[in-house]
Amino acid sequence: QPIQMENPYKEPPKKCVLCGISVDYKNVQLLSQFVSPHTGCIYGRHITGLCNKKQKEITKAIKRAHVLGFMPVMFKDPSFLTDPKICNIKY
Amino acid sequence: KPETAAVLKRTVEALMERGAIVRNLENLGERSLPYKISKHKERHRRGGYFLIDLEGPPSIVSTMMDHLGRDIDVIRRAFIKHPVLKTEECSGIIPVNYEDKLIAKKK
Repeated sequence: QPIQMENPYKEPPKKCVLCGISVDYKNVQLLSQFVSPHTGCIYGRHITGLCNKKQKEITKAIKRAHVLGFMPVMFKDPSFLTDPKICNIKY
Repeated sequence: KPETAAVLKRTVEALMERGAIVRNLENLGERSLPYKISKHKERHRRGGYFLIDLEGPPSIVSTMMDHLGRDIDVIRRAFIKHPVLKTEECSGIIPVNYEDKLIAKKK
């Protein structure tokens, strides 16, 4: 007789890039990785591939950094241009 | 440099006057601002960033913003809540069933 049980071959849920990393408005380098280098606009969820919570946290932190004068608004800080690519974007 | 020390001393004393407990004062370095900020009839290009760990009554927020607004040496002021460190329960991306969502919305 077949026994009812949970799928034993289930994979653990996929983790997004920032799963486990606390987002702060002060580390401008992390925040700049989710910003376009040409216009400075924040990438959407379909490009960054982050989960709900983390995307919201990142947008809030970026906006805060803009206002408080930590991160430039219209472009990406030139010293962070050679950072590794996280987002799923083709230039 | 003695000017920045004087500014910090002034602000901390004003905070203590209103009954706030200063836990920590961090210097985030002096760098060129990301954009030119014009404040108090002057255009600033370089600035020092300081972070003060505060504990106090919420009624001092408005008075302190007023006080810092009148200070010429302060370019930008802000009060931010302490971030609650709680990122150990991040369960990964749960696959969302879009069909069910659409049917539920249609009803």
